Amino acid sequence: MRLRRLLGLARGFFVLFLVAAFLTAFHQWTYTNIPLFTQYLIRHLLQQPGIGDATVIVNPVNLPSFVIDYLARGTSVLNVVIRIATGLLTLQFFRFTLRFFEMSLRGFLHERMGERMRIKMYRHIQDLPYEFHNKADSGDLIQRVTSDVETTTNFLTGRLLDIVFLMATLFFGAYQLYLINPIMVWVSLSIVPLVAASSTIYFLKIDKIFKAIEEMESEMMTVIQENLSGARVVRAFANEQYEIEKMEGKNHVYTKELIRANKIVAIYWGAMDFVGIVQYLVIIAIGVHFVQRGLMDAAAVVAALMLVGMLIWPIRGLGRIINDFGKALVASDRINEIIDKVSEYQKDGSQTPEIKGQIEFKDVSFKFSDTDQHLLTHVNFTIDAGQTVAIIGRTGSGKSTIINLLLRMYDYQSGDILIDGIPLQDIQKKHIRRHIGVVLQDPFLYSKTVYENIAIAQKDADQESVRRAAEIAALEKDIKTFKQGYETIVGEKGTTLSGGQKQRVAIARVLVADKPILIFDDALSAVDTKTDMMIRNALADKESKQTTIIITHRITTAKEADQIIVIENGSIAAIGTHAVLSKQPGLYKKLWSIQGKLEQEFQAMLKAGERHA
Amino acid sequence: MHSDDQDIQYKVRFSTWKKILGIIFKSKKHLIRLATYSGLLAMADAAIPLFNRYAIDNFFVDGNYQNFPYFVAANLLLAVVFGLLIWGFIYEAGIIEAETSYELRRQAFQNLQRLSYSYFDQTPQGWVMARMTSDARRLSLIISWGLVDFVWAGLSMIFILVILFITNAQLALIVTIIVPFMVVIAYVFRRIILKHHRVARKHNSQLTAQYSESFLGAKTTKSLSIEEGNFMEFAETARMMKRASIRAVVSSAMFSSIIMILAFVAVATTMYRGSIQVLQMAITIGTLQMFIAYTINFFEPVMSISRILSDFQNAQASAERTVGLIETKPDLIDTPEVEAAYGTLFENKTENWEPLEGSVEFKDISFHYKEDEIILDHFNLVIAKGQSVALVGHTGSGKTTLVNLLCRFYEPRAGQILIDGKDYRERSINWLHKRLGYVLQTPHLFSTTVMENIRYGRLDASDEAVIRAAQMVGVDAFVNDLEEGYHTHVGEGGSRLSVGQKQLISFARAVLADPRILILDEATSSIDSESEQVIQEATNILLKGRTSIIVAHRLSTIVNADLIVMLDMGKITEMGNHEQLLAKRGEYFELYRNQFFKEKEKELEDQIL
Repeated sequence: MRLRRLLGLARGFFVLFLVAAFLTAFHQWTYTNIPLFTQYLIRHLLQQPGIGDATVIVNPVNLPSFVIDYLARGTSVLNVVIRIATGLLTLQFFRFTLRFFEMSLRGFLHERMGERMRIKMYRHIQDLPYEFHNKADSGDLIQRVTSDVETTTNFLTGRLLDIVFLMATLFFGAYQLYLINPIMVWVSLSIVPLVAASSTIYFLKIDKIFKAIEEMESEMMTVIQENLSGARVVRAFANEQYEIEKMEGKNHVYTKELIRANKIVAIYWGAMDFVGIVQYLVIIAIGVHFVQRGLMDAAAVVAALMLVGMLIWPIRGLGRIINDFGKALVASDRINEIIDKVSEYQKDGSQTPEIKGQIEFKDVSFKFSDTDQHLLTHVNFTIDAGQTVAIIGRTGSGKSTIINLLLRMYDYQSGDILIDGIPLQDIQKKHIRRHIGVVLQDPFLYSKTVYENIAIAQKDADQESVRRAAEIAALEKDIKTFKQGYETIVGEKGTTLSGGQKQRVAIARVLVADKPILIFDDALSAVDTKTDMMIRNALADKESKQTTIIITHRITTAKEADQIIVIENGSIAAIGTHAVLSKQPGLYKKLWSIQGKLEQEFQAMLKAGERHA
Repeated sequence: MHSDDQDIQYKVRFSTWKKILGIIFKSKKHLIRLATYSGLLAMADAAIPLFNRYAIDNFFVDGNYQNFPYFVAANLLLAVVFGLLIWGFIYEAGIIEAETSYELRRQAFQNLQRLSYSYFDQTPQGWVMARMTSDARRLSLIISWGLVDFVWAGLSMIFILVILFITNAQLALIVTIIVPFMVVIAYVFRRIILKHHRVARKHNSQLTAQYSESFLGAKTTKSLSIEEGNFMEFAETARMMKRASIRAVVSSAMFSSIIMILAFVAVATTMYRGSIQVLQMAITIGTLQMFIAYTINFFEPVMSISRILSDFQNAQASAERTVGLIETKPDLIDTPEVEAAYGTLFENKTENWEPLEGSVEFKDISFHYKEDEIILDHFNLVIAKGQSVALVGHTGSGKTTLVNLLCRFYEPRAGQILIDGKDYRERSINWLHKRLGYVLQTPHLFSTTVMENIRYGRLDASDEAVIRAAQMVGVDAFVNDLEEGYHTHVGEGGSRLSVGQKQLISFARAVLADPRILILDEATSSIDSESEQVIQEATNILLKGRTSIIVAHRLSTIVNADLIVMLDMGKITEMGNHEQLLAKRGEYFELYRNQFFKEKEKELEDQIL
């Protein structure tokens, strides 16, 4: 099953793979013909008077008959030699031309498969629901899309063809050697299982050892990393010498283990070379035995010596193929685990109505499938198009969940959300997201210029609207302090912006296009009170009126809204204007009165302080 | 300076390689052994066809089996020697590889400790990390195996040519003539392949960056609905990478095919000319077979050498960056006189160190990081022994710079910093650091136990002393709840602890060090009010009885300070104690008012919301 899924990742490449496999096998077949040319040459020379004894020639040369015919048609002794040399050269030319195609095809297969897998993974992961991304560990995901993809494609295009190569070499080599002398084949093949077994054991063992070494390396890297990020602490306590000793310890242990592991590598390859040479010796001994009895000729022995190498050499790498097979299975499992996750667009609406901005929550409840606890219970409210609404409540009360439902990051279980009277679930997800401009609490900026970041969702925006958006978001002044202005690169690899600057870029980003609905998810609280007000005033001054939802815990911000929604424990505690709510007993009133008390407290403290002075 | 551009560098800088060779020659014993094994191996390689020639001529053509037992014995011996040589060869090369990378890391790390803080301020961590890991690894791999392959290949070629020329000069010439052609072809192709590889690598790292961005920004991407655009960009990068990789593969396929065809031109020619000589009875059949074998074998070392040369060229950038790291000079160093009296960074002459009393004076200090951005301009401030000073002001007002200067992470461009009335440059950096306490805004914990993290303040402190320090600042309270108490591992960067707990541990560290002067960079990140209370108490204990300079954010810390210094653009705008400054109704008043509301609101929200 796992194997089938591993091979399934190569779907669509079957024909190309077969062609590559055929070329590989064919290449090995032509390879086994080279010793035969030498055999023919030596046989031919031995047949010449004075050089050898023509009567001892007993073995035929197993070249294809048309080749034999061509060689035999030589008009003189030397002409035959020329025919052999040119014949060999022609064969080699043919072989290496094919070899070129074979290698190029392998490379193409590998890269094309890799590209297809990468693109597929990228698109698929992008389309996975927000819930997946919320829980995913991005380091682990990166591992899956880079090294796991690499391991899998390496196996599917490299190791799999290596198996073909190995089988073909073994088969054709044994076949040719068999035609020369069957005993030699049996003797040679008898140690194949031994070599195969030791190779497998070796590669599995060495792999385990290197894994342990990798862990030591990562410990050492932690020490280096901590000395980079903690350079100040190390210096402030003058512990440089101590750090050097710490590093020395890790470095030393790691190096020692590496050398110890290499010892095993050295023994394995030393032993394999020993076996290889002994193999030659055995063939020579068998050759002597048969030649002595006139059952074999010198030319055949020479060819046999060349062929026997084909039987042992490749087997030494068998262990690597098996080892890589194990790794590829694990890697492909990890890839398939992602592929098996269902895209969020599997379940999508089909309508793309014009969005005006009226929002209605009708008895909406929501919980995650893996818990029993509801994040929202029976939530009801209506926001008219063009209204500004503040949502206030403590952390974890469900404010952000409302936004996530509205953006269809999550799907609600009961009740309904209506946009301009149309059920949200009937509208295409991308359509609704395109019409809602949301500024998240912890916005993400892309590794592009400030300009590109602002215009990212509106690639065709003109310079004027980008500039205006930056102005409304109170960002212009900041941009002027950047050396490269709008062309400054931000994000992971660029200049680091402060939290407030990031949020204001994110605000500008949604203002470039006129969206019917704007949402600030606690986005205004990271900028100071003054800027907060500036931005809200600028928004209010805009000509077009959009529905605006502000999630906040700043009561002074909430106060200005047309409607204030107070959320407690996943349900609505109160809805109303500031005038109403500040008089009605409840959370809002409490907050408001405290605000007033604070002012008094401050004044009192000042007075006390002055008397003291 | 720190760009990762992998522009093709063909110019080999000898000073760089000299440094690296110096490191390799540290393992002289192994190097000599390795060279010996390589030489012997090349000899054994060259000997095998000789053995075969003997067997063919004597046993198979002439039917003379007289020496067969000796032949078998000699051949077995060869097999054993060969096996041993391969074993020794890999073994020694492995040691050299491991020890070279060990030495590179050791030297680089040692130099890192020598470098001033300014280096870390300006150099991305990833850059240094890459130098010390992948570059060091790659370099030692290429150098150790490259060098031995080079010795082996060079000697192999020499041995083979010697044998060939001794046996038959005419046939030997055929092989020799083809070598220059191969060298030229190899040179041309290696360059092309290298170029494609570099392009592919560049696209590959871009690909990884795009993946990472797509995962980290998933929610933003969805909410902006820009999946399609991101995907197109990614697909383009993937396509470019594929194209470059395929080009590299195709070029190297063409390269090896051309070389092999060329090799067989030599083989065929050898066959032809050799056969004529056999017919003329100038050479035996065995000799002909030997020539054919040598001709085929000869091209392997030629290719090896071309590969090694291109590897070295490839490693040039790695070598330069790594050596650069080892040889970077620290910005700040003690004068020879100071070093003579106080010792070096690694060898302190503590017997000559005078105690630190604790008075500090900034005397007419001017400072800038970058030429055109002046941070401090003729700055003056006197801090008496035991006084606590709170520095307040907006970001960029110069608070952190003052701390950096006082810690001697940087030195003033003009003016003096006097500690106990003496310019601090007249004493060693280590003298100051050993006697100064510094608590960072974001505490830095090492991935070890709570105990060891606190002990970092004074390495020779006993467990009891560590625990006593911990108790003083309230670390004890939460440590006892941890499963293994003080021996609990804090995780990488202290990930298993809360922000507040980490701060308390860094406080305990400073208490253990018991410095006369303490610098406290207060955290701005908000924690819950309960922890806030604990930290506040810990702060009071920490500051008691010491001269302290605080980059202050908390109201209580500011109010309690003996002296409040309000900074703006590197100048003191207001100075005095809390009451005096409040009465002024100036900038401090505004700042205080803002902070008051922020803290109180936060406190109330924590209670109500």
